[in-house]
Amino acid sequence: MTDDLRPDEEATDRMDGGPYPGTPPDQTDWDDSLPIQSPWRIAWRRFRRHRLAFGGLIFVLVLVAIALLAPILAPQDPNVVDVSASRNPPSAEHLLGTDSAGRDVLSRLIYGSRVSLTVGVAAAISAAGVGTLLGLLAGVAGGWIDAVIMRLVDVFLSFPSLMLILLLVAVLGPSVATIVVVIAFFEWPTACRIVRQMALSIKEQDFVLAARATGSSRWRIMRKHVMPGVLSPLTVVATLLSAGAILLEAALSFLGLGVKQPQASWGGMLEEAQSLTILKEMPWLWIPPGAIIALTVLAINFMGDGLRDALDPRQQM
Amino acid sequence: MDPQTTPTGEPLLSVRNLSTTFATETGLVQAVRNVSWELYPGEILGVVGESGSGKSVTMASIMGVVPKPAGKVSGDAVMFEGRDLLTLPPREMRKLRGREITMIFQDPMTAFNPVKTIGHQISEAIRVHDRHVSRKAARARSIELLASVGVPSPEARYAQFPHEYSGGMRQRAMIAMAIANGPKLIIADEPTTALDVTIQAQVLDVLKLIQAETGAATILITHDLGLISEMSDRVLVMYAGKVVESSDVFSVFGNPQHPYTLGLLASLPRIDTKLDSLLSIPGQPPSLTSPPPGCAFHPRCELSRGRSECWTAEPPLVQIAGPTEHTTACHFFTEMETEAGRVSIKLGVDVRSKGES
Amino acid sequence: MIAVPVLFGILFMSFMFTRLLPGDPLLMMMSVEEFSATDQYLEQRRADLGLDKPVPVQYVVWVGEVFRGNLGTSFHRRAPVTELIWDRLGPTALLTGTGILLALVIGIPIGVMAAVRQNSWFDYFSATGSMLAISIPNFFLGLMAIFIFSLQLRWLPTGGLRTLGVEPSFGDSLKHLIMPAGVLSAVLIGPYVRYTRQSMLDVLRQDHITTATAKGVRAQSIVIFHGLRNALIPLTTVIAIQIPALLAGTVIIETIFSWPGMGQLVLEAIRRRDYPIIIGVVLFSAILVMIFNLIADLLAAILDPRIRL
Repeated sequence: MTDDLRPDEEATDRMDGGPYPGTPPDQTDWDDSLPIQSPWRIAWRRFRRHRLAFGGLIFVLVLVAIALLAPILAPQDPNVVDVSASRNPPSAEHLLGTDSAGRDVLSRLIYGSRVSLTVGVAAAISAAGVGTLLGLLAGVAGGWIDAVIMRLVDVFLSFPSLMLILLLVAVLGPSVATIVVVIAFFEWPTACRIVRQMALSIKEQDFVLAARATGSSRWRIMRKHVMPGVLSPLTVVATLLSAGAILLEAALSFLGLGVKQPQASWGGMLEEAQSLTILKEMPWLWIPPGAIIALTVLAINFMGDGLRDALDPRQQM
Repeated sequence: MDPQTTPTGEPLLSVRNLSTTFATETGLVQAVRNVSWELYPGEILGVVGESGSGKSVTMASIMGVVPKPAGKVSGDAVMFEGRDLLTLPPREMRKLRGREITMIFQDPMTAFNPVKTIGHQISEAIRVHDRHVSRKAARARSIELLASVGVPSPEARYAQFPHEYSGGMRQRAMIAMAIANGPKLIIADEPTTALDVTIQAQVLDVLKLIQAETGAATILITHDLGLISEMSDRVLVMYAGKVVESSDVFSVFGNPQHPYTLGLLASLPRIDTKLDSLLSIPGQPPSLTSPPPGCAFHPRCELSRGRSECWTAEPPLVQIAGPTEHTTACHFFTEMETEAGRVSIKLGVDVRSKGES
Repeated sequence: MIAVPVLFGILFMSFMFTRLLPGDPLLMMMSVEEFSATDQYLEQRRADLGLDKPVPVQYVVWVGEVFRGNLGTSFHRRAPVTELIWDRLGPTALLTGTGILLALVIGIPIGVMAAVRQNSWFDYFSATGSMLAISIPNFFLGLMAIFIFSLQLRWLPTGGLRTLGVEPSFGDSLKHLIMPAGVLSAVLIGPYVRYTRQSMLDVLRQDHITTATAKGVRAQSIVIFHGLRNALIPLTTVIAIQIPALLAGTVIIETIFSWPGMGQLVLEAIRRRDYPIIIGVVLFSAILVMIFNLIADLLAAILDPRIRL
C-alpha cells in the first residue's frame, strides 16, 4: 500500500488538476492563452471605457488642432480694428458678431485658444516639474529637508494666490511667459504634496526595502523605483493643474491684468462684459468665450478624472 | 456541558435550500449554494471551513445583513421560531436583529464605532429595541452587562472609547452588547481569530459562561478545529458554499465521513506525537464564480481517484445509517473508514480522535 | 507647534514683498500726517524704522510695526491700511461666511444622497454637476447670474450692499447678498459634494456599520448618526483648505457685484500700485487662513477622540 504513496510526485501532479486519466482540469487553472498586459495598456483600455473622459480627450485634441490651425480656420484677422462695425450682432460676415473695437468675435475666439492652451500646458508642466522635484526630495530624503519643504508648502498655501498672482503680473509685466512663471510659482505646492505623499508610501513598500538591502544608493532608488510609481498620480495632478491654470489666466485677462491687448484671449474677451450695457444688450460678445472656457476646463477635468480611475492601482481587474 | 448526540424537539432555526449570490465585475459569485441545516435551542453549533467556504455569508444571509444590491439571497425558507426570515418585511427583520438574533464579529476594533464610547454603543443596542428605556436606565444596564463579561471598573469603562480598551476587553464588550437584549440565538463569527492565544482562552470562557447562563443557541463560525472540538455540540463542515458534512462533534472528529473533513483533521499540527511532515490538502480553493462541476471538492480529493461520478454529479447530502444523526455529501462515503486509516498510516498517527472535548 | 514656523514664513514672505516691490519703503510705513513733513523729519523716521540698518534688523522692526497694528498707509487713499482693512472686513466676512454656509447646506446632503444611492442616476447627475460647477469660471458665472436674474428677470439688484435711498432692511440686504454669495458657493459645492460622497462611502464600508445594522438600528439613523457623523471629520480639513482660494475668489466676485469688501479693495490697489494695501490685505488673509486651519484641527480633535492628545 505504501508503494503508491509517493508524496512528491503526487503533489506536483495535483497542481494541474488530478493525476488520473479522465479527470478534467481544474477550472481555477491560469489561462495561458491570454497575452500578458502591461499596466499602461490596461490603463488605456480602462480610460477608453470612461466615456466622459474619452470625450474630454477628443475635445482637447480638437482644440489643439484649432489652435495650431488658427490662421487657416479663422475667417478674419482677429486684430483688425474697424470702429464702424463695432458691436454688431452675428451676421453672415461675422458669424459671432463684433466687439467694441469692431473685431470679429469668432476669429478672436479661435486665436484665443492659443493663449489658453499655451498657458495651461506650460504652467501645469512647470508647476508639476518644480513640485515633483521638491516632492521627491522631501519624500525620499526625509528628515529636516522634508520638514523645511513642507513648511514652505504650508506658507505658500496660506496666501490667497490670485491676489499675489495679480500683483506680480502687474508689477512684472503681462507677457505670456511671466504669466506662466507666476502661476507656476503659486501652484507648485499642490503637486509637491501629492508627489511627496506618493514617494513616502512607495518608500515604505517591500521592494524598496529589498533594494536598499542589496545596497542601492538612494539616488538610484529614487530613479528606478520611486519615479515610475509617482508618474501616475503626477499625470493626474498635471492635468488638473492645467485646468486651474487656464481658469487663472482667464481671470487675469478678465481683470485686464493678463495678456495684453490686442492679443486675443478668452478671458480678455469677457472684460468688456463688465459694462452692464454690453452685458444686457450684446450676449454674443461674452457668452461664447465664457462657454468655451467652461467647456475646455470641463473636458480637462473629465480627462483628469478618467486618468485617475484608469491609473488607480487599487482597482485590479 | 452535556452535548446532545441526537437533538430532540423542534429546531430553533431551520434553513432550507438557502442560496446567496453576489454580482461582481468578474461574474456572479455563488457564495452559498443550496444549504440546508438545523439548529436546536440551547446548543452550540460549530461551523468550520476555509475562507470562501460561505460560512460567514450564510449567517449574514440569515440575519439580512448581506450588502445589497450586489447580494441576492434566495431559498425555500429560513424558519426561526415559526417565521420565515426570507419573507419577513424589513421592519420586522430589523426588530429581530439585535434582540432575538445577535452577532459577535471577528475584529472588535473595527466592529465598534471609533468615535463613540463603548458604553454609548451598548446603550444604543438596548434603546433601539425599547424606546421607553431612559438613557440612565440603559447606562445602568450597560454597566451591569460589562461587569457580567468581566470588564474591570465598568463604571469608568463605560465612557471610554474602543481604542482605549485592550483587544480581549473589546471582544468582551462586544459579547456584552450581543447579550444585552436576551437573544435566543447568538452568531459568533470568528470571535477569537483576531486575538492573542492567551486572550483567546479568556474570551472563550466568557462565551461559555454566557451560553450557560442565557441558554441561547450559539453558532460558532471558525476555521480553528481546536475551538470546534472544545466548544461545540454539533458541527457543520462547509466547502465552496455547500454543507459537506454535519454531525455531533464526537462523530465528526471520531468518524469523519467526508474527505474534506479528513483533510482538515490530517493537516492539524500535533503536540502529542512527532510528525515527519505536515499533510496539507493539495490544490487551491475553488473559484466561486465558476465552481468545479459535480462535487466541488473533487479536484483536490484523494478519495475521488478520478472516478466519473465525482465530476459529473453533485453528491447529495445524505444521512448515514447509524445511531447518531450524521450527514455527508460524498459519493463514496462508505470508503471513508478505509481512507481514514490510510491517511493515518501515512501520517503516523490516527487522525480520528476517540476522546472527549 | 507647527503654526509658529508657518507664521514666521508668512511674515517673512510678506516682508520680502515690501522690499522687493518698487518704491520707497519709508513711504509704505509712514502715517498720513507725515506725508507733508520736512526732509529732516523724514530722515529721522528713516533711522527710526531702521531703514538704514541691515535687512534682518529691518525685518524685526517691520514685524514689530505689524504687531502694533501698523500696516502702513495707503498711497492713494491717505488712510492707514489697518483702518481700511477693518472697514472692509465686515462685508467680506458676510459674503464668504454666507457662501460657505450655502455650500455646506446644499453640498453635504447631496454628497450623502450620492453615497447612499451609489451609481444611481442621482449619483452620476450630481457628480457631473459638481464637475461643471468647478469648471465654470466664477466671473462668467457671476456675469450670467446678473444677466439672468437682474437684467432679464429683474428679480435681483445688480450689486452693492443695499439699495441707495431706501430704508435698510433685512429683505433688501438679503436680495443683494444672495447672488454674490451664491456664485461664491457654486465653486465650493463641487468639492464639498465630492468629498462628502467619498468620505461617506469610505465610512459606510467599514465594519462598525455592519455591527450597527446587526444591532437593529434603523437605516436612516445609521446613515446620519454613524455614517455622516464619522464622515464629517475629514471634511473639516477640506473646508479649511479651501479658504485661501475662497478669499482669492472674493477679488473677482466683489468687483463684479460692486461689493465693498477686501477683495475689491485689493484689486483697486493693484491697479493703482498701492502696495501698502496689497501687502496688508495679503498678510491679513494669510494669517486668517492660518487661524482657520488651527480651528479646523481643533474641531477635528473634538469630533474624533482618537486624535486627542
